[in-house]
This record gives sequence, structure tokens and C-alpha cells, in this order.
Amino acid sequence: MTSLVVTGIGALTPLGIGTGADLVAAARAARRPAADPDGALRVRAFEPETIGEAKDWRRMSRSSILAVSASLLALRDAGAGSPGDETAVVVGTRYGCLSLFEEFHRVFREQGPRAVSPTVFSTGVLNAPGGHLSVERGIRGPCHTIVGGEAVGLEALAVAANLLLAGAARRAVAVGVEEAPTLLLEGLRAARGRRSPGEGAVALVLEAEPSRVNAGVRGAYARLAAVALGRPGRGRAAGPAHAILAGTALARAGVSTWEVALAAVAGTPGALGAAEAHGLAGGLPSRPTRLPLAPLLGDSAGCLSAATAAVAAASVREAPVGTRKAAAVASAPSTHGASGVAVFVRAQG
Amino acid sequence: MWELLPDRLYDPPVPVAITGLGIVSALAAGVAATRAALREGRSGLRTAAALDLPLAAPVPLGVVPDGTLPARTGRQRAPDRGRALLEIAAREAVASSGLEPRALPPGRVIVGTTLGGMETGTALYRAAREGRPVARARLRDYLPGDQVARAAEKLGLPGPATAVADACASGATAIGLAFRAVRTGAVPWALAGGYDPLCAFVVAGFSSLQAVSPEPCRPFDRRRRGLSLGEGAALLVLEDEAAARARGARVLGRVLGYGAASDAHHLTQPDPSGAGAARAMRAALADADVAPGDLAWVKAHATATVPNDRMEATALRAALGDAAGHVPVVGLKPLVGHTLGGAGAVELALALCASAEGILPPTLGLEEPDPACEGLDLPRGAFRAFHGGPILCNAFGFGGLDASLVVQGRVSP
Repeated sequence: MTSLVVTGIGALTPLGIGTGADLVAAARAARRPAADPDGALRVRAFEPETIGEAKDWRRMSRSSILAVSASLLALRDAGAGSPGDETAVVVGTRYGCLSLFEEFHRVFREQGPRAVSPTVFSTGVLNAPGGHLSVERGIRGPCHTIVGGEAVGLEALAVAANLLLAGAARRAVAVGVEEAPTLLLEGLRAARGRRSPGEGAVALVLEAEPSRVNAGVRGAYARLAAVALGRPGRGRAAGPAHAILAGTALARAGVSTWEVALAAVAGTPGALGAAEAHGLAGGLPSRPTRLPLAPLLGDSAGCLSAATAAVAAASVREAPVGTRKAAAVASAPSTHGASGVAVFVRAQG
Repeated sequence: MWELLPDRLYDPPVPVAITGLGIVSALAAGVAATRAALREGRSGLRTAAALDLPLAAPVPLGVVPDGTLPARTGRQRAPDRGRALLEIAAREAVASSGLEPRALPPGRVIVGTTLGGMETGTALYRAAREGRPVARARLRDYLPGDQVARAAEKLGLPGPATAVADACASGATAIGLAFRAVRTGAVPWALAGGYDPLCAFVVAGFSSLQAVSPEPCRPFDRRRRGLSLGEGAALLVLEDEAAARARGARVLGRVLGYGAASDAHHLTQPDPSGAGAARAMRAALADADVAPGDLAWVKAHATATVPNDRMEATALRAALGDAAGHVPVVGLKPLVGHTLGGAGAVELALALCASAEGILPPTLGLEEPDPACEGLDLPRGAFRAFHGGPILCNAFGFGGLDASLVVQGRVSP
């Protein structure tokens, strides 16, 4: 069956802006970025024009700017020239372009329905980030937006993988994105307990191997050996459900727990994180090094879960040649919809 | 409990049967009532809408019939309109499939929407702006992914549940992705479709785009004045056909092929060349191994806006080639309105219902075809008889998204 390899990573997170190597280094350093006065972890010192040219930067929502920028970095990292017909885009998000929706509602409420802006309406739809990316870079393959729970970045990766396996594209950009907290999320902060809201976007370029589109590109980060998505368990069943998910992903990947050097985990504070820790203790009894990312990136569903995949994939390329421990796991539990576990191994060649 | 990437791809891919169907729209609630409404040839669009919508003047809308949705009871608020539509169609689809959720292996629930619980979202924004706390439980009634997950949980369906937000192509995309998951062996069954409610947000938004028609929409007509908004939901149960027949399931139809592409042209305006839409149609036909001349008819996206109708006509001529003039092309939005993220699923369900009735409906309201749509067979007036065969179903959306499905109704036992 077709092998799938990660050939590019782009990340704009509170840890910084860069590619897979930058992200995994910052995650390993585990220095928590400074939060804004409102407690949120945001992407700092960021001008989209420095990432690349785009004719519509000024019309884009914050989500679109972050997603497009991360994708441009990832495509550049992959050495992808002109994407064209054979490239697909899959965006994963939980909240979408909330700030533009709030702006739309503010005008609607304060000035009436006739005052609302058609631009705000059309650029605030959930699939605007993918649409902008397609238009800006001439990507003419399938372009999907997945809206799910806390693991939606891994869901986007799974959909992208299935597009490649089905032959619908030869390259896919999977990007998880969330905006910084806005009015609605401020209203929810009391219920969020110890969670720090966050924003950012992390994109992975996935290619079918062997593929003429990645011929000549320097070594891939890793091979995506398995993605398992599962309905989260409830209450005390949440941990065991995640353990089964992790064990199933490893089995499908043909990887023993003793081959796993690193687990990039969401590590969300509270019950969800506890269930994840309990599940991974059961599913990965070898206890590989764990890198919890929520303390570094904040609670940013799409971005956070995509970051687990990016850190896991990038860590595989850094593993010493010849070591048996060259696999890595990405873990993102969810309160509903789908939890995810992905397994990455060393790419051939 | 889980969905995995397939460990092997079925080669050849397995036929995918439609074994369950649920629909609620402005025409009716339920498959039987929808089939009856189609036989009568009536439209569900009506001007006297009960909803409190921000319209400068009354316009025809595709509002679901009164009494369809659960009402507020006592101190308990009525459920979110979008979630209510989704759950009505999902319940019917699962019940009609004969599947017993508790006995099922894990499958996939994937449903398309553009708005999800926007009615609830508007109320939450209002609360937040007024400094009132926002209950986390109500957020689940707003976010599309949460609504779909909640519906799957209520039905007891095992496996991951997710929403797809591909604008007005959402419903078709959800069915296409679910079709692939079943056909490649990733999952043994899937529940897929689309839904969207009418709400103040969407009416104000499309009004700001000056796209709403003051009269019932009339796709492909020279005098068309824009689209008619609607609401609804349709869900399909998809299964490996051999497994479905082995359990004695009734096969309502088949999904034969799926194709998707992007215009890469403009966020809201379709590419006048129709290149993206034509690629999606060609991909779906190739996936289905169906030649254009073998199509029984085309269920067009047909929004009744000038740019969309003309783009689709151009794309159809390109994709169907010499067969373009011989394959009937029909727009169904005059029956139910443009149900946005639900459209790809709702109109596909209408096509299946029409197939079961043995009719090929005309495009209501079409009297004088736009000369720019020449070269197509555009039925108007009376029904034509339908004797079976594959149907090409198109759905296009903001972001330049193009999705096409090839389905077959009236399947022999």
C-alpha cells in the first residue's frame, strides 16, 4: 500500500514561528511563553508579509492568516513549488473564525441587519482559511474543513491521509488552527478552570511515497504509520478508551511500545489530561519521554492537536541513525467526537 | 470504538449501498411525505414565514412545515433549530436502515454544515456582550462538531463523529468522504449527510451579498433574480453492499463515485471558466466508471444566481462533452430553497426519492432558459418518466469548492 511521509512542517505558535526542527526544539526546551494580561498564549512578533506574499492578507480573519502562514511555511519546508491540481488542503478547527463572527453580530446588533458587511460574512465562514489558501497558492485539489473536538488537528491529518490513499491527491496540507480567545471564549473562561486559552496554527505536508511530486526533496521528517480515531470514553472509561486507542494505533503501525522514543501529548490540565495520562500509561507501558504541549501552547484544540503530530514527526528525523527507538507517538484526547493517536516512524531513504 | 487508516485498500473497491435515508425540508418531514410532495409537484417555498428574520421585505423561504420541530416545553427551552433538524433526519435514516446501534461495530458519522447551531451562537454572543456568563453546555449546542457528536451519542452510534464545513458543498463532501471510508474498507458503515437551519445570521449575510431573490428562485431562467434560502437536513446510511444484503437490508440506492476540486479563483465568486467544477464532475464520473452519455440526469447545484448558473452550464458542457445536450439537467432548489451546508445531501435525497417514484422532476419556475445555458437539456413543465440509471449530483460552495457525486436509485433487489 502507498506510504505516506511528512515532508514539511510549518508552525506559528506562542513558542515561535518556524519549521518542524524549530518546533520540536522549543517543545523540548519546555519554556512556557509569557501569557498576555488576559491569560491567553498568543503568537508574538508576527507580520504575515514576512511569511509570504498574499493579495488578501488584510481581508483575512486571524484564523485565516495563521492557517495560511503556517501552510506557506510547511510547503516551503517541503520544497513544494507550484501545488496545482494534485495538492489537497484539509483544515481542522474547533471554533473557526470567531472574531469575524463576533464582529458580524456586533454590527448586526448595534446598527441593524442592513449594516453588516458582505466581506465580513464571507471571510468569516468556517472554511475561509482553506479557501484563502487555495486561492492564494493556486491549490486546485480537494479542500476540506473538519470541525471537531480537541483532537481535530489529528482528524484533519487522518482525512488528508485518506485522500492520498484514495488517490484523490498526491500531496496534502493538513493544518490545525485556532484563534486567540474572543468575546465568547472570555464568557467561557470561568468554566475553563486551569486551562489557558491559546492561538496558533500548525501545518504538516503529507505526500504519497514514492511520489514524483517529492522527488529530489531532502529527507522527509517521518512516515505516518498509523492514525487511529476513536470515540472518547466517558468518566472513568476515558482513560481505558485512550489506552485502547494508543495500543490499536501501535498495532496497526507494526510498532512495539519499546520502539517509541517520544510521545508528544496534548497534556491538557484537568480531567481530560488525566485521562490521557492514564490511557498512555496503559497503551505505552514502556513509558517513553512525554512532551506535554498544552502548557506551552495553551488550550487551542486544532493547533494543539496538530502540534502533537508535528512534534512527533519532527522528533523522528532527529533520532540517531541505528537506534531502535526511532518511533514517536502523537496523542490528543477529546471530550467528544473523536480522540486521536498517530504513530510516526523513520522514513525510508 | 475507532477508525483507522485502512491496512489494505479493497481492490476492486466494494460497492457502497445506501440502506437508510432520512430527510426534513420545506417540502415535508420524512421520506414518505417527501415522496408524496414530489409526486404532487409542489414547492415548499413560502413567503409567510414564522421565523423572526431580518428581512427588509417578505421573500419566499424554504422553512420546514409548522409543527415539525420540537417546541419549548415549560421552562425548558426549545432545542437549537439546527440540532433539531439534524436529529430528525438522523433518527429516520438509522431507523430505516434497520441497523441496531448497540450491535454495530465502530463506523463513521460525518455530517456537513455551514452554520451548525448559529441560532444558539447568536444568543451566546448576546449574553457575552452583556457580560453574562456563557454556559459550557450551551456551547455544545452552537459548535458544529459538538452538535454532530451529540447526535451520534444520542443514537448510540459507535465510532468517531465529526462535522465537515465546506460551505454549500458540505453535505456532498460528507457523503463523499464517508463513501470513500466504506469503499476502501476503513469502516463497515457510515452515517453521512448535511444540515443547516434558517436563522437571522444567514439571512442578513446573504442579503448583504444582494443574492436573495424577492420571488421564488428560478434556476437557469433568463429572468432569475437570485436564490431562495431554505433549511433542512438529510442523512444517508452507507454500507458495504454485500454485507448489507447479507443482513437482509433493503438497498435504496448506491453511491458510485465522488470527485472534489477547488477553483482557486475567488472566495465567493465562482470561476467563470467552470474548470474546477468540471474537474470535480469528471473525477466523480471516472471514480464511478460511468460515461457521461450513460447518465440518467444531472441534479445541478443551480443556485439561480447568474454567476453560478452560468459557471455550472459551462462546466457541464466541458465535463459531459457530446452528451451535454442529451442528459437532462435539473435544479431542485425551487422545491426547498438553498439549504446551504445541507444542500448537497438534501437535494441528493430528493433525487433518490424522485427515483423511487419513477419521476424526473422539472426545474420549477424555469420558463425561458438563459441563452448562456444553451446546449443543455433543461426540463421544464411536466414530469418525465425515470427508468433508472446513474445521477450526477453537484454541490459548490464559498471558497471555490466543487463536489460531485454519482448515485443510483431504483436498485434491483
